[in-house]
Amino acid sequence: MTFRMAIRGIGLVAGFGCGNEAALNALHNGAAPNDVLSIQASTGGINYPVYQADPAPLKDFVPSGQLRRVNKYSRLAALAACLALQDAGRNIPCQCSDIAVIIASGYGASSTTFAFLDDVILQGDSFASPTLFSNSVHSAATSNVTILLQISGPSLTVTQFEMSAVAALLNARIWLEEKRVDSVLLGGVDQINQVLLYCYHGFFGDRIPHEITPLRYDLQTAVPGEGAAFMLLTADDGRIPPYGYIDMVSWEAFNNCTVPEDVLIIPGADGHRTCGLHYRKLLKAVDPANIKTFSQIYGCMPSGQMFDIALASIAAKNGLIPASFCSVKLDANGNLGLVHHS
Amino acid sequence: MTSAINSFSDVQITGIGCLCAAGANVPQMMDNIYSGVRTPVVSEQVRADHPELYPMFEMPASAVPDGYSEGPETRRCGLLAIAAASEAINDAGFDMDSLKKFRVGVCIGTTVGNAMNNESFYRDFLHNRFPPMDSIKAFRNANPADMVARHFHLNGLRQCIANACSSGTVAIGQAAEWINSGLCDIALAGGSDILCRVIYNGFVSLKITDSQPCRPFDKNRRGLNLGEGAGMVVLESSHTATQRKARIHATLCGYGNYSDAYHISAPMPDGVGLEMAINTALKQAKIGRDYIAFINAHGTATPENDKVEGTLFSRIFPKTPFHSTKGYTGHTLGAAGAVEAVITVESLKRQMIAASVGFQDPDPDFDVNPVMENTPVQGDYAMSDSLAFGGNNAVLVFRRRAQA
Repeated sequence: MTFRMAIRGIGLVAGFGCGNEAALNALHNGAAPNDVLSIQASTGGINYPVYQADPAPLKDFVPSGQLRRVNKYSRLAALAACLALQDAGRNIPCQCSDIAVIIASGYGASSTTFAFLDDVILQGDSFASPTLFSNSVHSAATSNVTILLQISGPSLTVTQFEMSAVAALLNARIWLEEKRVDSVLLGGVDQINQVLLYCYHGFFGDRIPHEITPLRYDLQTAVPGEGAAFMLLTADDGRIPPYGYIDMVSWEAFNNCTVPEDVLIIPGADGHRTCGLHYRKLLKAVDPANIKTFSQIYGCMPSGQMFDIALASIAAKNGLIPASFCSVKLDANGNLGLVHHS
Repeated sequence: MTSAINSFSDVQITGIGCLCAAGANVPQMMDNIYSGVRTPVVSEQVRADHPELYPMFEMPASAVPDGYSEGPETRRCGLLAIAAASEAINDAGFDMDSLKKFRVGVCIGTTVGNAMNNESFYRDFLHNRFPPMDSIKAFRNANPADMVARHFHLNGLRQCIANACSSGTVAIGQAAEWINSGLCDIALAGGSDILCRVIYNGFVSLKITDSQPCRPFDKNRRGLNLGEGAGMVVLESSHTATQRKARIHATLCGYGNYSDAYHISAPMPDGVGLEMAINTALKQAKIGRDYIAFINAHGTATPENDKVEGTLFSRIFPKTPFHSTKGYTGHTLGAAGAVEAVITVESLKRQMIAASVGFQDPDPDFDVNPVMENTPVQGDYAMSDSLAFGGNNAVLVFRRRAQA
């Protein structure tokens, strides 16, 4: 697979803020959980630190009236998409059909599904909201991006938990290689909700971490994050892209795979002990100086690999890391997603 | 307009599998469809307190054959996908061992299968009854693509497509592109979905469900009937299929995918997104519209959907026979495109399309009507289209296997 994709623009919204300046600031200075949400557990009230993202700047790109029924999940995606397009010098709205929209999400619009269920459970089946239902599908973010940005090209929503980003990238590469489209607006988006925090508590107990230490593989330090990371990708047409190239994307079986030793490794370790132990095994032969993580900047979420690639590309552009790096993401099923950048 | 698509190669369909309310396997489903049998029921499992009862095309609990359970932490959506995949794999002449010799991808469309919508868990959470994590563990293990891959011991690329009601069509199209790009030799592709209260309440709230058996393209249509099921196909490159002397059902020769960019739950009235998807699929198949022998329409029986398709077909397919098979299967959401792909392939082989059950009175808003009786068709190409919430349109074009 020699076809490579050029990264023409990047858009980010996360706990550290929105836009590439905020991202660069976080890369320089780090970023901690920026909010605390409370949940009720059987042991009493619990305050959970989180990385919460604010989609409010979307109103700078899209008239407020068009956003009235758009949920936060979709707003996060739309804001990051706008930022990526703006960064690439594209018009907003796009009014075109030669851009594809591909979005990867692990949790999807589950917050909207729960809001829909609130009405059903508290008021009765007849009070189910059609607006909430329409926006509760995973594809709501993709649909809203196409609608708000007037992109009538192909669209795709991929959900494969931690492997969502690499799956989305593989589809993007195919569409660019076969010239189905000129550009792909590719993003990852996930959103925090109370149920997610309750599940964190249910799975990981009362010891609540306040910072992610991704390379302390044997510790459970995951802190939930939310946000969206988008890239505008094109084929390599000879013009030097501002954020380098994605040279290769591959889906491998963990047991059959070794990571390259000659480039910086960006593991998707995000403070989950179970995965951390697998990362430790995978990276045991890699010089620790050649490993860098970003999850401590944006938090823990299934689509995190998209953040890793976007943040690393910004870091490389600004000379903070080498241009050659490899993003590595593991899932619970023994799969491994590798993304090589130069 | 977008760039020229220059590299979609034919992909062979060597196995098909399906189970839905119309039948527990492909032969049974086709027999029932050609016999005009349809069995919408008021569900005993999925109940709600709306003043009206809306029938659905529900499968009995026994529909998932014995031996497909992975244990208590499994969900029915993935089990339906496994059952359909099993039929397709057997049909393609594989067993588990022979399949493992190839790089096999799994691509499955769904809406319910990847949604955390467990109502009993959420009800307990909402009322501070502190539900245990069992449901969440089950959800984590219930991704249909993962379940199929685990069941058949496949360790290649897999993904769930969540494009709402076009998911099954898109999953087959994307899997074909994986094969074309060399990501895998063989792909198990299709869709799977199940009925549940969230879906039922949601569609009732949208006021697009019919309290009678659905009537696609009929002047008096009132809406859809929900359904459940799974459809799967085995896709192979021509090279792989030739090498192993596989029997070929049909060739997938075109795939289009475009967005309306219009509305979160209503299709673009002029159908321009659907038309672009059709044009792309035909261009890939290297044929003109006249070559299409018949169309398996999305035909949900909602006023809006059928108007878009009816109006567009009037303009660009004025003489092409078409039908909707949702009158037999219900709208199986993320599975629909895959179930209909299987029906289209079988109809193309048999050169016969089933009556569009439920259609009686022509709609004066468009100039074409679905077939009212089982209708012989002549030709080598057929098309199946799907429309989705949020405006995704997807189209597949199939070519009949060359006759010896």
